[in-house]
This record gives sequence, C-alpha cells and structure tokens, in this order.
Amino acid sequence: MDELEISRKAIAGDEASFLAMMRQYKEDLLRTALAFLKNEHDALEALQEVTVRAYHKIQTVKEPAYAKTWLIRIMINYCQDQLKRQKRFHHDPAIDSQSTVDDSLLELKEALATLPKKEQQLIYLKYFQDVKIKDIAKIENIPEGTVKSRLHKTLRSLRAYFEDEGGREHV
Amino acid sequence: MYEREEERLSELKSHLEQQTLPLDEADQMILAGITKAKADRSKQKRRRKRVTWMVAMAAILLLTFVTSIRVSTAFANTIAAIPGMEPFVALIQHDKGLQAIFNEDYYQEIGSSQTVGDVTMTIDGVILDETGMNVYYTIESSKKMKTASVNTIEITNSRPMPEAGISYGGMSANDVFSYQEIMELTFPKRNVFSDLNFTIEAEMDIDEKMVAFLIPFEVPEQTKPSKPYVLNEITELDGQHFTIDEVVDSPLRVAVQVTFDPNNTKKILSFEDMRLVDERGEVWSKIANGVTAFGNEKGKTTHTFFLQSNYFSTPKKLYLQINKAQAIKREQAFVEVNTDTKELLTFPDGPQLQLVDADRNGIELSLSVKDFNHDPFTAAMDAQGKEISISSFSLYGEGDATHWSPAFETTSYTNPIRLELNAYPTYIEGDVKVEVK
Repeated sequence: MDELEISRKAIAGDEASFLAMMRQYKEDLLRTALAFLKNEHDALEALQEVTVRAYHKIQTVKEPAYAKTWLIRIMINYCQDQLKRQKRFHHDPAIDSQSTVDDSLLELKEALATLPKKEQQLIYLKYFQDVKIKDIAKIENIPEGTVKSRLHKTLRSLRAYFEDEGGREHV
Repeated sequence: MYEREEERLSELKSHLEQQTLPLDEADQMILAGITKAKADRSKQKRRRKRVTWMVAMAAILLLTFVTSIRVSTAFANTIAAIPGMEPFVALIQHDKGLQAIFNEDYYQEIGSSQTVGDVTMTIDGVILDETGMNVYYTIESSKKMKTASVNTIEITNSRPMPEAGISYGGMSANDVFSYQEIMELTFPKRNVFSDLNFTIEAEMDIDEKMVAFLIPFEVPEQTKPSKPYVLNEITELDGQHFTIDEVVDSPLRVAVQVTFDPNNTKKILSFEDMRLVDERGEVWSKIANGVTAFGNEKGKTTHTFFLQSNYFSTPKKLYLQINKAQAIKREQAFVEVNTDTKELLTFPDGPQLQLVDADRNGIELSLSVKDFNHDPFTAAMDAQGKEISISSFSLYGEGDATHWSPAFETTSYTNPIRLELNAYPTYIEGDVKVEVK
C-alpha cells in the first residue's frame, strides 16, 4: 500500500491504516517536536498526545495528500501550547539547557521563539518540511501571494535576529 | 533577497535531521495514544447510554400511566386551548403540579422556530421556576420521518447555566410528519436568571441525518418565587432518625430536604410514600416521571426528594407524611464480589440476591423480586479503595426476578470489589407526620 492509500483508508476510519500512517510519519513528527520542545522525553509525550488528537479528528481531513502536513500542524500547535504553559508555570533556564539533547538545536529553538505563532508554523513548514507555497496556501485557505508576503516578512524578522546574533558571536 | 537567511535555515534543518530519534519508544507512544483515544471515545458512549437509560425509565412509567389513569375531560379542554399542547395532555395529567401550572396560566408560550432543509423545530413554550425549566418543542418535516431522536440538546444563557439534571425523550418519530417532545432541566440549587434570553442548541438525528438547530428565545415573564418552609424537625421511622430540614414549594415541584442521622443502624435509601397532605385530606405524592431526588453521592447525609407541586393551591394546613422507606442495615449497604473467583461475598439480608455471572468486565445479579425497577449502583470500589466507574447498566425482568448487570470501565483493579447500594427492596415502616404550615 502506498502512502496516499494508507492515509485515505485512515481518513475513512480504518484503524490499522491509522496506526500505519502514524508510524510512517513518526520521524517527521518527532523532529518537529524536537525543534520546539526541550528534550526527547517531552517530544515522546507530544507524539502520544498528537496521536490522541489525530485519532479523534482524522475524519475531518479532506485530502489524503495533506495528511502528513495536517499531523505536523497538530504537533506544532501542541508544542506551542506546551511552551506557553511551561512559561507560565516554571521557567528555569538552567534546567532547560541541562536537559536539551543537542545544543545545536538551541539556536533553532531560539530563532523560532522570536517569531509569532503563525510565523513559526509557516517557517517550519516551508524550510524544515519542504511544503510547497502552493500547498501551504491551500491548507491555510489563503492566496499564494499572501503566503509569499508573509514568508518575506518572517525572513526579515529572522534576518534581524541572525544579524544580531552573528554580531554577538564576533565580539 | 533573503538567501543568507534561507541558507542559515537549511543549516539548522540539517542539524535537526542529524538528531537521533527514539524510534522504538515512538512506536509505543503511538500505541498508547490510540488506546487513550479509544478510552475517551468509550467515555462519550457511556454518557449516551446513561441518557438512554433515563429515557427507558421514563417510557416505562409513561406506559403505566397511559393505561391506568383516565384523562379528565375538563383538563383536556384546558390544554387543548393552548396551541400545540394536545399531545402533552397525557404527560401532564399524571402530575397535579403541572396541571395547576396550566390551569393558572403559568406556562409561557414562546413560538420561536428555525427551519433547516425540510425540518422545522419550534419552541412551543416554557415553564421556568427556581428549581428547573421544562421546554416543550415540536419537530415538523415536509417529508414523513421514519426515525428521529435527540443527539445532543443544550440550553445556554448569557450567564453560565446552573448545574442541572437533564432529561429528554429518546426515539420520538415513527412515520410521522411532526412530533412533540419535552426537555427538562432540574437545578439542584435554586436559581433565578437575571437574563431571560436563552438559546437552545440541538442536534437531531432524523432518518439517519444530523440536523442542527440554534434557536434563541425569550421567556416573557420572570419566575414566581419559591416558598421555603424551614422546619428543622427531627423525626424517626422505625427507630431511624432524620431531620426534615426544609420544604420548598415551587411551581414545578416541591423539594424536601432531609438530613439522616449518621448514627442510624440502617441506611435509608429512599422514601416510598413521602407525600404532602392538606387539612381536607388532599394528597400531593412523589413525582412519577423525571428526576425524583438528588444527593445519592457517597458519604453525603443530606438528600433532596421531589414531590408534585402544590404551589398554586392555598391550603390552611399542610403536613408532610411518610409511612414506608427502603432501608438496609448500615453494615450491609453494599454488595461485595470477587470477579475472578465469581463469588458473591457480601450482600444484604432480605430477598435472595444471586450472582449469575461475573468476569472482570462486569457482573450480573439476580434479585428474587419482580419488577424492582431501580438502578442501585453509582460506582464500584476495588480492594485498594480505587474507584471503578460503571460504564453501562442494564436491567430486565425474568419471571419473578429482576436482573441487574453493571459493566465496568476498566479491567485493571484488585478483587474483591464493593458496590454501594442506593436501592434495595427491604423496608421499614412507621408514622411520620410533620406540620409544614
């Protein structure tokens, strides 16, 4: 069975196909979680929660081709909610950095954290999941031009961030 | 234009791709997620079953009523004068309080409606008081409806709605163009709405299609105030003491609040014949259909029982009388079962109770009393004190016995398990007469 066929059956309510679909996209989902959350443990928890949410809502997916992106968006939303919560309840930067798997990801997390929620999602889908602008437009139900102008705006904010950071490195 | 930024992002992407991932654990998390999602879903199903159960009870009572009580012509004429109310004559006739509401014009006509496709829902009228709200509505279709039932129904207000017991009819249509139904809300705590604008949100399953309605309506007149009589009178029935705290008379029902003495040797489960009697001997008895009591929660000694309303009558004297109650010895107020060895370990004295079948998913008990139509269980508790929810309950009569089968939500518990009884056919008798007014 190919990817699309599995997604199509999962949307139709076939449980075995749902499991196959989740397994198929687990790497992408875990990577997404790691781009936002602080450690592996939280990423695994996130995967479980995203499975629960997806199980309840899978019937609402219209196009089997977008099943993967749909799952990734659920994951990003979940991660963003978690980050907001953690901020509210206990923010201890010492613990955060201690438990991070790989420091090389810190920069990514920080860069994303400087952006508003919507823009985090846009950058992530475009540059980390290679979702085409045309598809983002369809999924978000907005014109392609709007996606492009939002991307530009977001890259401009990132430029400011990278330059600032670069400057700091040279000092 | 933003090549450098894009390049930087692609560097970060390759970092992310080099991460080693806990793939085996990931598989476990996916399976755990599916199990959790399914558990959520069965919880939703459980709620629906509970509702169906209430509906089944209502239907049984309704049948008894239709065959046993004659409708008075005078009353039928009063009702027939109100548009759309004829079908409710039978339902209202068995409750003296409701009859008085119609005779005294306390029923408020509404008439708001919405049409979705072929189907129109009309809110015919409302009875609102401090203890609840009855909503009378009609569903009409331009095509014959083979099956129709409520999927969800909810009432909202600009302020949060008070906590309420909700009951509504089940399957309503059978090859008809229109039918009438009632939705009843019962508030455990007295409530006065400051805003009388409501919205009913209903999803009806009509011939296997879901039709959603959203109908705002305004109740024209504010509720008539309840009349509380604070009594605090200590009384006893066959040596078991309790206090009649207060009797509150409202248009829809009379609420009698009772606090049981924790030192009683028996646990009183319910009163069989609690009633109000006036100086001429006229009687207002228990509510036969719908919510009849509140407060069977564990460890609570204060309960509220409902009687038919006498709000609109003006007796000189009014007494609360009780002669019979369901009661069991305090130390026997539960059944204890081992679902592995299929043994019934503890059960009350009295009519024979047998364990017909048991496994970790549920038990079936047979009680040697005909037509004891009560749901005796709210929850089970395992040997370690962990609560086990009852996911569904079925009751049926077989010959001279009544069968009870509760099913459990989980199979992971420690035997033996204990189920508190809220109803049992052993009785105490006596003579309680308290002056209310």
